[in-house]
Amino acid sequence: MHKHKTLPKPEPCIGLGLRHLHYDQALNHQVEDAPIDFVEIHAENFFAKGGITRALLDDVQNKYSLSVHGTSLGLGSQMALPQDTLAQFVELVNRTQPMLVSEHLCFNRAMVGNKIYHSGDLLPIAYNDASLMQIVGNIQQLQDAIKRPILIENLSAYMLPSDIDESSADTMQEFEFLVSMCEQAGCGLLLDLNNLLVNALNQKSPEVLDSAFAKIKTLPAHLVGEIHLAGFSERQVAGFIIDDHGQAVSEQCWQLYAQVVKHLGHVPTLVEWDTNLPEWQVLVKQTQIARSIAIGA
Amino acid sequence: MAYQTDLIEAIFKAGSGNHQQAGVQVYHNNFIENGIRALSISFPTVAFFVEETDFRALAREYLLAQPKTQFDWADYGESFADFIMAHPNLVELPFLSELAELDWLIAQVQRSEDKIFEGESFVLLNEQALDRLVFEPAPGFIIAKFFFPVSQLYQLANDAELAVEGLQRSAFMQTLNKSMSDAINLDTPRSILLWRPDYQAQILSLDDSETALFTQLQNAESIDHIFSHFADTPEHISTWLSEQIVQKRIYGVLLKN
Repeated sequence: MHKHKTLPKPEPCIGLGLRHLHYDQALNHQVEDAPIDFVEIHAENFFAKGGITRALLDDVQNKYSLSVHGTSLGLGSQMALPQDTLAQFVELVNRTQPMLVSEHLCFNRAMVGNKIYHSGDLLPIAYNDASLMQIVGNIQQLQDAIKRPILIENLSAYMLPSDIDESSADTMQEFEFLVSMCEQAGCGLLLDLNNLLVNALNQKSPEVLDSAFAKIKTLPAHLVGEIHLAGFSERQVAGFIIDDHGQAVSEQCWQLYAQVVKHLGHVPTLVEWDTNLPEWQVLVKQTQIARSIAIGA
Repeated sequence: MAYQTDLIEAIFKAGSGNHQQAGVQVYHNNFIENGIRALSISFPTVAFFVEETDFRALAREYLLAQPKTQFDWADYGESFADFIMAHPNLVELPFLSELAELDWLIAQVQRSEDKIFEGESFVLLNEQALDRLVFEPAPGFIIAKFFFPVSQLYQLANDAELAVEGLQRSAFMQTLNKSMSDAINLDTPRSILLWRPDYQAQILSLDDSETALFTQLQNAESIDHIFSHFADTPEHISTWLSEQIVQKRIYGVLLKN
């Protein structure tokens, strides 16, 4: 009789958002001392046809697995995907062959007069059938172009589309929309826990953690391909907590992460810190906390 | 989905539309702050020569006057130099517009397509008629004209040693001040050459003769034509060519199409 071996528990996969300020430290980092399983780059920072960013990316790739995170395609936009920007994105993905590719559940541009104005931001879309059809079509176009599925990140938002136009009311819940989108487009989810918490705080949810975790429990586990962890500034703008990625991961976010890892198992997890950047070692410490939570789950 | 157009319009024209929601204000603030950050990255020399609060105010005015139509913030700002030139409050800083133009050019040079240095191609100079050959210039190779001594101003903003008070800075400032005074009386602008040898854009001030020569190189005129500049001193061709190769201003030799 064959003895059945117990499969080893999978190792956590913990990454770090790599920003310009830390290129040197990242390249000199001793991964043996403090492992970093992958780094995430913002796609648009590497769209240049040539120059130092291309060389840097080659060096980074020699050391780390890569996640390419798009911030400007605006897949929920009513307008067609711009072919030149799409081509730049495809070229980057083809060249780097990253372990993960992701974008956002948002729109970012519209025709005003006879020009396309581009907000440079991640703007909320309505959770209704028209938006669903629009974003599914754009995701499929992108996936066809890069020949692989992508992950779509849930958004933090400061208003509802129906605040602007009553006919653009939501007809489904956010997570209902996300699941339908994934099923129809064949994509996965990048679950941003900080965005969920910021939304819950801004909506004055009485039980912020419980409300966020309850939503997550409605997701089929296989759809979640990555988790983002981040912090937010307590300083409010126009009455809102802003998802500025300028702080250490919040205590609430760590707590939610512990619950989510226990529920979903090990999912590639990224610590995001994009503004008000601290020393590299502070970021590394954040990944160590994430790893210890993931191991302990 | 009219809300997409309405929201974008409200973000760009916050305060003027019907939508006064606090959320719109957040997105408007994000646009302004992201834009100021992007412009300070694309125009570091301009940012160096004005106070931070003045730069923020200038960038904010520009962002409101020139809505972003580009996907990438790195592509936004081409008309910033013209905006500065026309700004009534900046007439006392007439060099600022030219610095913006220089910053923009440098940003384009830094991002221009890579090329491979083809050392072996120089053997063509001995094998082919020179009127059939052209030089392959370095990435970003471009000649630009400015009245003010922008290369010195750029150096002042970027050379850490010039930030320290001392003899070096003192001598530099003396020369710079004279060049600035001379600029007012110039009838024709001065030329500079920009190129990218490896990863860092370089600037070279050119005299009239060098401007004519490098313009031919930029225009892909034949090597025969370029070498005609040395008709009276053919022995200088080798020295000149070696210098261009060492400085990586020329990346190779090509047969003309």
